[in-house]
Amino acid sequence: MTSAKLQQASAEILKRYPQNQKRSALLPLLFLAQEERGYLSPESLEEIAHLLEMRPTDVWETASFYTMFHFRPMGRCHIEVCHNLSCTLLGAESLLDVLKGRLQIREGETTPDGRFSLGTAECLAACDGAPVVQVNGYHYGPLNRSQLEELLEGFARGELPERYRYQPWAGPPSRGPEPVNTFERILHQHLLDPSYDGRIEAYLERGGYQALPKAVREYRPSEIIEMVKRSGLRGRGGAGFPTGVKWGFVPKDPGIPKYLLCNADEGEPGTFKDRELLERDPHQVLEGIIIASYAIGSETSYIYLRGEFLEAVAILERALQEAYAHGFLGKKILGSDFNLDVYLHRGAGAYICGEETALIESLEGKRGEPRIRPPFPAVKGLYQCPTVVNNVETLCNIPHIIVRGPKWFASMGTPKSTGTRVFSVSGHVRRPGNYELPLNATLRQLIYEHAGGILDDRRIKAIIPGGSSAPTLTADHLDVGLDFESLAAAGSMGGSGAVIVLDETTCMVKVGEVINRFYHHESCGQCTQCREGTAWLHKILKRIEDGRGQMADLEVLKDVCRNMKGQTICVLSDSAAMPTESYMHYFREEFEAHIQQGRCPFRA
Amino acid sequence: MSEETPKLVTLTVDGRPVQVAPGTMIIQAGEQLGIEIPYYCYHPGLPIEGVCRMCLVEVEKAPKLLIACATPVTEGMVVHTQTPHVEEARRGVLEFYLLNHPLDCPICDKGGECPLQDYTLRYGPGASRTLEDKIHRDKHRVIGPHIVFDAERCILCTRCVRFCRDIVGTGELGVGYRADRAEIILFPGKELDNAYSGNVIDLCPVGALTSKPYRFTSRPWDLVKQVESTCPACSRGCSIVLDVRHLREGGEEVLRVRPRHNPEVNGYWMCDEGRFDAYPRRGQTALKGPLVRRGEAQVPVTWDEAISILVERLRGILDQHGPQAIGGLLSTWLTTEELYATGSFLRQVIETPHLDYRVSPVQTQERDEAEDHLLRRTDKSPNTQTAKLMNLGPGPEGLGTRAMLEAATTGSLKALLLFEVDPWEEPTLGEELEKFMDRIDLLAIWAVRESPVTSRAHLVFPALGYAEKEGTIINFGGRIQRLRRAIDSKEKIVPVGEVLRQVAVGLGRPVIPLTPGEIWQRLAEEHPAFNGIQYEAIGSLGVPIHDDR
Ligand SMILES: Cc1cc2nc3c(=O)[nH]c(=O)nc-3n(C[C@H](O)[C@H](O)[C@H](O)COP(=O)(O)O)c2cc1C
Ligand code: SF4
Ligand code: SF4
Ligand code: SF4
Repeated sequence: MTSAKLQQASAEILKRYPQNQKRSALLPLLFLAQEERGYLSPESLEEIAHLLEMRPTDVWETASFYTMFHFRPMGRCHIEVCHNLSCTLLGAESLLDVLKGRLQIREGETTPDGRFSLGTAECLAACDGAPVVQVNGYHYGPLNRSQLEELLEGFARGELPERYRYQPWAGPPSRGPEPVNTFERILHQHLLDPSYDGRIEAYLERGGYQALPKAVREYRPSEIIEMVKRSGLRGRGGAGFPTGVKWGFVPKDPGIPKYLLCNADEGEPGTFKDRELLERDPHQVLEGIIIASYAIGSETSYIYLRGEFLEAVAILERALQEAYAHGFLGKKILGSDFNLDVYLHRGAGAYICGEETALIESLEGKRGEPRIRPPFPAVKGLYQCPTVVNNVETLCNIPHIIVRGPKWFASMGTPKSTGTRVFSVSGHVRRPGNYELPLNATLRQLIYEHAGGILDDRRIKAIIPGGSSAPTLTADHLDVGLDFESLAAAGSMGGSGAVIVLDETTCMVKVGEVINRFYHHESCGQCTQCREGTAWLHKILKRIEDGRGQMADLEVLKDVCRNMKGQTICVLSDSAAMPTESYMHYFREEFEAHIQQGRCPFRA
Repeated sequence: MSEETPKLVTLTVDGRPVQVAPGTMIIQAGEQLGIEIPYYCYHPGLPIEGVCRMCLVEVEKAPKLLIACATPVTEGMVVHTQTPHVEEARRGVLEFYLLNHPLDCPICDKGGECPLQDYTLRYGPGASRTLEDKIHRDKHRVIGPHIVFDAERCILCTRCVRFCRDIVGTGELGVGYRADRAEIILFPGKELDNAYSGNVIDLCPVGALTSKPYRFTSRPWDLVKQVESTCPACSRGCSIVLDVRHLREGGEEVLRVRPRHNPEVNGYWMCDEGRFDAYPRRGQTALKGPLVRRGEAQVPVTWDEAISILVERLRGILDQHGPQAIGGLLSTWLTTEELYATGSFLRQVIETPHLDYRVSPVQTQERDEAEDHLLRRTDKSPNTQTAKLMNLGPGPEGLGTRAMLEAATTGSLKALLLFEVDPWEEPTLGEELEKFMDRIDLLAIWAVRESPVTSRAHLVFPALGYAEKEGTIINFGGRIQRLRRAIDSKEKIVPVGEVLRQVAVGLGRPVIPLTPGEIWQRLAEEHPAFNGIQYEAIGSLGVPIHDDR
């Protein structure tokens, strides 16, 4: 990229951030420079450092943290196979074999003619399209071997065919019967209509943007917070923290800027609900963001969008423009004294940036390293100012609470887990996809009535109910409720709302290897226990899966898990240890069988 | 007292009560009680990072173990540092560290003084349980003029990163990549090259950052002694430790210079010049013994001979031309005691008013100023402050440096005594010296190394190097600190004070005091700035001069 062009672009990008926070423009500029040249050379990095008045070292340490940045030329067609859990369950390894065979290269390599490079990817939040392949940022899936070979011919011609592109909620209906629609859908109400295009007209037509005028005209910010508290809404991002309570922690001092950050980094393996809400009903998210900003006194808000959500960028940019054009954003919104600007900020390939303090660091143009708490973001967050981070789905609930009232909301679900939740179901089910259910529904209802039951009517071996970080449950737990308390009581957690279903053919050692490969890949590396522990778990489990395990490994695994829990800056370390412990708890005999037989008993 | 003292917080650590200021971290409260809480990333001079997770302790009512370095004390807090839970966590951290650690202690510079080694022995797992291959990384990367980096030994405590970023402000180092691929990085093509880079060697808790000169030259347990001293390489006077070792072939040498914590002077740090250059340059005298010029040649003589020659020559000049024909220049390299001895010799023994001090090496800047925001001063000598306090400039009838040189050129000054002043460090002075060099009756010089002057002087006396002598220096801010003898000089060196005392005796003049105790007693009597200061009371952190303001 020519200096002049980069400089021009940077001037535009810098407008999104406070004047003394130039570093926030780092990831956007790195993306731009990479787009132009295909990779980031030291010269590009130095130029960006100069533009942002940063030290080259700081640019380099940040850039190298994120997997979407490349520091050497990649193939013109860069193919990455998702090898996380849901995709592995449904044949990702065989797709990788096809590619290796056809391209005659291994992972991390580029063909001599520079046309193709091959890699693997972690969960792309498209698990209902598993197995998924990412090609120059676009997602294809579900794919079988021959479909992939067909696509390869197009890629070889330099095309990126539309065929087989992954679309949220586009799983082939042939996989099972339509779900029984026994519950009212709140967040998904528009999505049931195939003609709904997510544009502002369609949203307005169906009653959208009615909550916003009501909020800013009829209620003071503190009253909104009160309403959200009374609704009982709990965060849908993972921790289930009461949303109104969190907002209440923000100091009321009008003199300091406050920030509302929408966490759209969806990266918890098995989770793909936020992506659908963002891509198919962006205004519902925006309306939630605007009201939340009003409630906490934020005049600038950022949507931290997962870097891999390429298609969502254009959708959200357009939605933002529409909202500005309609006076829902900008100065004096709907005639009130409330001003708000919302900007999109892309991540660059790091699961940990979904953790709220890592997200803040990343938004500041730094490595996505979680911060030590206290101070909590509500007191010192983005740019050391009070900040609320909320998940996409959490925010989608807000307009409905304003319009229909907290009481109505609290009447759904259970007393402590109110409302509905969107569950991303993937793995060995007939109809993988996102299903919105009230929080008093059960795993059985979700898996059998909505997700169509198990492929080929096989039996369930394990249910991972809250994303890969959740300890596993088994078929014995089918009648456990989906609310936070019931799942916790059963020894797991609600987590991100992703439910991965594993049938009886699944090897739990392999599952352990796959999820720990993920945490090993994604640990930010700050804490000793997490940096070393995730890698160790991964290596031991891979060795056992490969038939080179020893009985003593089981004891070591247990100790490693114990030493990784409850001792680190964030819970990623626990997220690797807890599920691993649960696999060994429920399926110890599988681990022993691997070791005794010196091979994986599930492999042909 | 007008200032309100903040109420102290009381807590107990391992059952022992302790009172500390609010905002104190558990780790410091423990330290106050002498309770060791092991850590790697924490350092009192650096911002807290909280990443090594080694300092986990149990706090009653807290659901999880907490890191002692970043957990502030609260009233009534009950901390336990020795519970099975804490011990297990420590064992865990150490086991994790050792997974990829090369364990090349026998060839590691840090061996013997390595917290990873020490804590592993004290708290670590008995044996390794890993069957996995260790990750291999660069073992020997020269990353700057002074520093070598071993990426395999690095435990990613980020101390070095924080030091360069937050203390020096140059930020050459960073952490690149993530997870167990994370590594300390520099920008491609860049070096760790700042005026304080050597501090990362002390900061690094393992042998990942080592000194280029020190690397492999010695095992830490070969060090025979550590001597607390003061850096003589600028007017800051950083508190330092000299590591001294015995040489197999006999004698001793200063192997390493390290900073010593002194909140009043240098905090925890020192600069590279002080660390790497000062002692090799002026730590030990390079001259073997006194020299006398005979015709064109200089010949070695014994100390007694040299002293009697000096007595004779001085007496001759005094008899013939009087004290006004003798002048002396004193370098601010000299210690306070040496300045006192030389100054008194000129004023009270010779009774000449012609004396002056020279700031040497000569400053590039007029005034002594901060060279950066951290420590370095523009005056690269240690003791200008003393020379000023003692008024070692020319008196009312005396000649200053220039005037003295002129007088020597015109022939009215017959003898010039140079106490560690080397005019050749100041080009114009050197030129002037050139003019009278062959005409003056007596040019005597004390020096630690050869120079164009020593090679032509009538008398050359070796002076003691900084590692070879005791004394005090006073820094720019008026702090009196001690220089300590760390090694015995290879050759017999008679200290300048003793030489001058014998000369005074030889001349039948009043004898000047010799011991520091006597000198300080006189100083206290003669100069208000030294009022009430006793030599014995100058502790390892020094004392401020008496300030009447
Ligand atoms: C390792 C890790 C990854 C996370 N990833 C996400 C994520 O992708 N999206 C999200 O909304 N929350 C994620 N979270 C949770 C956030 O830290 C935070 O709790 C959440 O965004 C708060 O929003 P909520 O209160 O609306 O749930 C993650 C947490 C951890 C520890
Ligand atoms: S637990 Fe892991 S991901 Fe979280 S801060 Fe520590 S090293 Fe980073
Ligand atoms: S090089 Fe040393 S100081 Fe720097 S991070 Fe590694 S262990 Fe710490
Ligand atoms: S700052 Fe001055 S006193 Fe301190 S180490 Fe450097 S030269 Fe020595």
